[in-house]
Amino acid sequence: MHFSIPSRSAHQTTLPGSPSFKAKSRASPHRTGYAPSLFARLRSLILHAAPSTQSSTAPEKKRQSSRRTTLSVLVIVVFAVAAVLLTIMYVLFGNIATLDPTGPHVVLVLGLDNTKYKDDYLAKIVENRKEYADAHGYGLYVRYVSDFKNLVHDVTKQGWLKLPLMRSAMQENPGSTYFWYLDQNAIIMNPNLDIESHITDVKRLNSLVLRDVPVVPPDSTIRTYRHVPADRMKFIIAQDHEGFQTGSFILKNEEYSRYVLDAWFDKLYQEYKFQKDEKGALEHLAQWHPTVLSKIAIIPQRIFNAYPNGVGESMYQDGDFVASLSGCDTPERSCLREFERLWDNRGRVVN
Amino acid sequence: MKDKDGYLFSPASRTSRMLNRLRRLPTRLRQVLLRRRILFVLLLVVLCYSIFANSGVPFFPRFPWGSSKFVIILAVNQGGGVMQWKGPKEWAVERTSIANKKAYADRHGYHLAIQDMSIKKRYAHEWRESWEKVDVIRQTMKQYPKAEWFWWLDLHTYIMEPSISLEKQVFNRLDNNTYRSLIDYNPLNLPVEIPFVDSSHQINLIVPQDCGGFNLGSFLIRRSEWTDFLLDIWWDPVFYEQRHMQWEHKEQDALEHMYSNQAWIRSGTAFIPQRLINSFPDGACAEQRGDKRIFYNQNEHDFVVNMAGCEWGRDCYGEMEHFKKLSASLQQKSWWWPFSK
Repeated sequence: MHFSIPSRSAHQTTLPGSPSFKAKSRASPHRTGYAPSLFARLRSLILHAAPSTQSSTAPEKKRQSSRRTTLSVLVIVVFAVAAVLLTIMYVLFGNIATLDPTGPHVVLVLGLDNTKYKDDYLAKIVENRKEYADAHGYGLYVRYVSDFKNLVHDVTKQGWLKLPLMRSAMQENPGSTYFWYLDQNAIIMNPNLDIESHITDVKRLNSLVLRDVPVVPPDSTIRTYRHVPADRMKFIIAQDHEGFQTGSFILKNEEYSRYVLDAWFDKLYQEYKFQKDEKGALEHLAQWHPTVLSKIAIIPQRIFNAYPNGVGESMYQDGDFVASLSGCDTPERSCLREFERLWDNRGRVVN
Repeated sequence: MKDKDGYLFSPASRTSRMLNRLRRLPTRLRQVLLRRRILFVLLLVVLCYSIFANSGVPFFPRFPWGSSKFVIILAVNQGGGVMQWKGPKEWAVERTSIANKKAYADRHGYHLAIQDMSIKKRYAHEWRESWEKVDVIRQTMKQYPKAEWFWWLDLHTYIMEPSISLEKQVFNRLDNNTYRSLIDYNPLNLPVEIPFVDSSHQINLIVPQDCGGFNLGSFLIRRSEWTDFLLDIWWDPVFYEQRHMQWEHKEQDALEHMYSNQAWIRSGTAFIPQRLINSFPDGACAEQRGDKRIFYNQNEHDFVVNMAGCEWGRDCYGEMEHFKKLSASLQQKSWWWPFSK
């Protein structure tokens, strides 16, 4: 049987797994490597628990206890160092979950239709968004909606194109948290408001969320939830008198948003010929699938989607964030004329 | 009065004598163990092995503290005898199947949820019919809140190699055992690539493909937020209205549709070669006879056989008995098999 008396040098070189660490002789003194194995520790426990059978000699005990104290001191030191390092990392990098801050916190998403609108008009829209994004350090993701035409079932229904556009924006900005889609025919009239304090901050959102309102006004059976806390809301959208207004909505960059965008964009929904196209599809989704509805926050329209020619609650007033020209491409109205009027009256960034 | 060990000794009372003997027992035990240290070590080793080892030492009591991670969902009583009479053969098949899964679950410490799939009123008039699977999975996930993976098994399945644990068969090398791309094997000719798929996403659904598409007779699903979304969106009235006449296999076809159209589903779904958890007997997929990817191979000790479609035109009872006998003889002949793997 292997028998050896531990020495100072043996402490450094003898590891628990090494071949020399076999010792199980009854007569051998309490012999350990630098970190005693489970068995050895048990063994020593037994030895000490039953003093009548085998007692270690006094100097052995002293060496053991001093070894044990050094070991425990070492363990404490290691843990302390680890704790200090972790706190430093936490402080420096904030939330460990987003150790990849490679992107702006908010991204504005804009889809341009260059088949129906002239380039100078589109340039003004882009300028408006850019001014806003630059002022607040947000990102801006601009694409021509015709890029996504081969993904939709019916190319005349333009409303669907914003869905793959948003999906693409989220895929290309994995580090960003919020994605705000704003229709091309809308102007940011008050660029001094920032998204966080105006909408997405949890307390603010909690005060804005409309609870227990029908998903399809005026009186659908399914209503929004009453008790879901605002920090769980991942889809912020407004309603007008007809229903969901998809000209302006915010999505958080999470599994939920990918699920909603993909399910919403499903071929069968596009082929179903909802009366209100993608708005109808979203209402359908919200009414039939609680996993979708539970994270939708409906906020008052004037917060980020006011109508200049609207009535009552939806009417745009000076100082409102966004003026939306939604529905302006009908024969009765003229997008350009309404746009010019608003464009001249828009607010500018105050430095 | 005190005896030689110093315990109080009252010769008159029998109970006090017994009490004294009991009191002495722990010290005695300790002394015995210390004298026979090797015995102690052996006992400890066997105890640890029985607690921690995955596939337990046979005939040794197991403590299934860690394996509640897996739940086997066994679908029984399909139809509940409403549309078809349930005769002695159907009952026998059900008994065999349940006993087989029970033995397997006990051996590996998995939970077994036997779920009744009889026709319920809320599925009347074809409404959601055959989508019961989805509701059952959701219900089972609520019943086993700590479990992570749920293995759905149809009734007409038989676990041929009960010594193989799920960890060994599937999960220990999950990325090697599963494939996510349809390039190599695409029996349904689904689109191979669609935009926005995230191939680094966690695998939440493991599905085998048979000769005709996805096979939901034996598949694995993980508890996650993704799964909650899937179980919610799986049945939708618009999908149902537009396609239920074409979708012969109901929720299976719905899943295939969603897989082809929705990128987030693709991100979380992985395929597993059929013969790992879902081998077919010769009668199923008869047109592909000889295809090595589909059919049960006893020489290679396939894990599970799924007698899919045996209730239409084949003999479920006969097949079940055949595989039961085959499994028993395989266990006898090659008891060394699990150790050789």
